[in-house]
Amino acid sequence: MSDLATSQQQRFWLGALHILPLCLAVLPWGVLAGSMAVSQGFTPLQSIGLSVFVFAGAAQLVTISMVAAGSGFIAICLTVLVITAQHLLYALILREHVATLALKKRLPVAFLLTDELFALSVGKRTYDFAYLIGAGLCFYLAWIAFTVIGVLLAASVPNLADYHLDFSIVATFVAIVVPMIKRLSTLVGVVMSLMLSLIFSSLAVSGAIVIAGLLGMLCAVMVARWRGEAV
Amino acid sequence: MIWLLIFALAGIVFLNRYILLEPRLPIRLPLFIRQALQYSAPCLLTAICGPILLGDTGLAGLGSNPYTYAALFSMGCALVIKNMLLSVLVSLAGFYALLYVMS
Repeated sequence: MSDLATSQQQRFWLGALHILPLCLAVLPWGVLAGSMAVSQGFTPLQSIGLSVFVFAGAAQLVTISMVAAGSGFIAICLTVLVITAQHLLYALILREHVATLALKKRLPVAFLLTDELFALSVGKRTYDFAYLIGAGLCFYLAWIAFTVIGVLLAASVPNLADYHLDFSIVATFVAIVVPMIKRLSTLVGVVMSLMLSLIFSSLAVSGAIVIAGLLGMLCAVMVARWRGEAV
Repeated sequence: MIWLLIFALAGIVFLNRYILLEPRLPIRLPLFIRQALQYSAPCLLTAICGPILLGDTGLAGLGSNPYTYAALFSMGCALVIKNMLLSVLVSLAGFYALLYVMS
């Protein structure tokens, strides 16, 4: 019994250790998420609340910029629903290992299931609970800590709006999206999304971002089917 | 209002993470949805850049907007520099240099 407890503890810390490099890799994004939120008018507590409760980097940046752009409640929720839908695929892949756990273990795994935790766990042959929780919890605490740093940095600088920090969202998203473009279908989807987003936004269409993104996705799928690209 | 939004979003993200871990739920998303989801990240992230690029100037101002040229520069950076973080840093440096030159 005590052996079992020790080995579970060991695997917990092993998970935490294994995710440390990924924690470091998201340090700038966490700082960005915290400082962007403050610069776009979130209170420090709300900015940290985003990281504590939502805990999804891209979704947080999306939320911050959509709130700043004056998007509606429903449009923001819909965009975040779609943007975090890749978790459906992660859950689908982890499902056979995690779905057999008890509910009180499934819930924390689900909450901690980020891109990084998925990346860490997908190569492993055994997905044990202690390892997942150790890695996930470590990553969660690091993410909150980095957000707090960003909030403190932003709060200590006056006239933050003069620094055009919103371009860092564009720079970040471009750096994420460009390497994703490996097929014609993705390129068409991205170009359509950008053009439609520019047009709808300039016409002040409500839900411009989510409509443009969904139509871009639709175009991409149509191109993929037309060209017979592999799924 | 912001807090309400934060909790609503927390619920949405958690639902996305949990729903397919629920053993009682029969799986298999339709092929069309699975195919479309592969494009959700590039398309939505790009769409979000739209209003930021427009700023206060609208479509007509795109040609004289430093954001436009800096975004093009960012694309070049992302193509040339394979490290994502470095690419962001270089394109930010380019953006501030451009702001300085254009002001």
